[in-house]
Amino acid sequence: MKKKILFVSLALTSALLTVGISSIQAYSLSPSVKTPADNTTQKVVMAAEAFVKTLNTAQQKKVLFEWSDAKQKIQWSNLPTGIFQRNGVKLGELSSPQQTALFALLQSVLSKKGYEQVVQVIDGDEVLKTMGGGGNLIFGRAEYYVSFVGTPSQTSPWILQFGGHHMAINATVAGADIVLTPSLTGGQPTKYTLNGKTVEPIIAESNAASKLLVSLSSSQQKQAIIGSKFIDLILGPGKDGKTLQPEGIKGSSLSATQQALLLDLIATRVNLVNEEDAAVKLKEIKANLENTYFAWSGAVTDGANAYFRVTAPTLILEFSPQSMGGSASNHTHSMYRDPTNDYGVNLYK
Amino acid sequence: MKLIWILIWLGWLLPSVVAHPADVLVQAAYITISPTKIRLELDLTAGELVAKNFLSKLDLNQNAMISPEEVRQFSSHVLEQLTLEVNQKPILLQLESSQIPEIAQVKLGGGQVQLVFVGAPIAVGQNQLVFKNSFAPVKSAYLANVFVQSSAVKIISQQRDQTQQTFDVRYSITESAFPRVFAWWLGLIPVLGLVAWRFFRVPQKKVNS
Repeated sequence: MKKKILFVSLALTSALLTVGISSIQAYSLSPSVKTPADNTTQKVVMAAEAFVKTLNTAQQKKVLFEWSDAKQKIQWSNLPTGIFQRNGVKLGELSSPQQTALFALLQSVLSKKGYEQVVQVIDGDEVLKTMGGGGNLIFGRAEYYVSFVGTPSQTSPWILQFGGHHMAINATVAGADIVLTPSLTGGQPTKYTLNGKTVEPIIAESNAASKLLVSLSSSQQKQAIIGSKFIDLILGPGKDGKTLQPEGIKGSSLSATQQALLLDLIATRVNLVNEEDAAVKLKEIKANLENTYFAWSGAVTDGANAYFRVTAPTLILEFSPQSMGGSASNHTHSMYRDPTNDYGVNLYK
Repeated sequence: MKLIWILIWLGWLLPSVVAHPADVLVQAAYITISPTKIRLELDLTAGELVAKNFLSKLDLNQNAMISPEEVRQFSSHVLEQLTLEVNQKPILLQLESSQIPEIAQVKLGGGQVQLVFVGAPIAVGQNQLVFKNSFAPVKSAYLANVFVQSSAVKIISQQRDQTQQTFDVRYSITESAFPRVFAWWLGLIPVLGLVAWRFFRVPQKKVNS
């Protein structure tokens, strides 16, 4: 009888220990990635580690957040400082070598085009700052923040957060995969002159959308147009976990040429990430093109003054002009989400 | 009155850096349909030129603090201006939660007031939901969108009027509004009753004749 009690007690204790240890592990440790790191990820991790090494202890403490920090994961916005406070270290607090290391990291994560766009948005914000106004709001080049959720690693997922006024890049790195969803891009002004050169950070996507709309027949436009005025972003910051129901014209109702134009439009956003990861995403989108919808709200004659949206099983793109003085096309917000894989939730276990 | 026009004019001239149009209150409605409830999230973001007027509807005693009672009164006032009908029958909405930002944030044009209302379960089959938002404390821009929280709900069509104050959604629900798990438990009740009756019944005494 005593042996039986001892056996049952031992069995119960070991069961409790197993459950307890696995619960603690699940709570405190980073999950493991589903695919082994490839060359791109190895370069990104090296660049991230190199940047972190340039920081002093106090800066590292400000920049690195635990993977389990759910609040920090969603701590991003298009708003300037004064209305929204980002965490991390801002460009204005980084020395020149530290900034060089940070921009090298961004270059490794993004494509050449994506990196250019990020720099153009920052430059545009500096131009806006020199125009004056803003009151208690703080913006401009110095106000772009960097932070990490999780530690840069080849085997565990982590997120690089880089953002400021009109921009929030959230790059989840998990093994071979790097995804930018959710990310917000945009700008104000959307056209400016810098060093004698005209810069238009968002012209490619507004042109691609206009080109697609113009290619539609009047009956197709009837399906695509859901409103006569431009509207605000629906799934902007703070709207995680919501999936927009498709509206507009379905990919299967488009001709091959129109489908190619739709894909061109999608590519302007997807191609912000490095070429290798963009190719993976575009392949997935191409496979779902028949079930992808294009919707337009606003004037048909003036592409840059209209809201448009692309909804696919694994993609939501929004483009929204903001009526805030002068032409609405001079201030835009764009959202890029994957309703199935924001923050790379499918890339680790 | 002149001062208001000057302010509006200045608002158009100066580059505004806030997130939304400066002279309107953006009212974004997020309607989520599930087999067990309808959830209406109303997000109110006032531009800096209308923020003061908007705040006067919320901070009733003007003490720069929003009390729970002021939130209750404000949400009741908003609710009076909203109608949500399913198959032409009004759905009774109740406040489930609210989020009120710092007053300073609202004044800058960035704070978002969020009110979440919920309504009772709805019928299986094809339905028509009509949402009307007549809340207009200041000049407003409206958005209305529908979301689903279950594969049992399918959106058939969405239509809005020009201002998006009226939103018409046709949808279907393919399973009972009553959660399946409860149905299982309901089904188990007679079985458990039978078992209990079998084991715990008091044996009847045999009457010797």
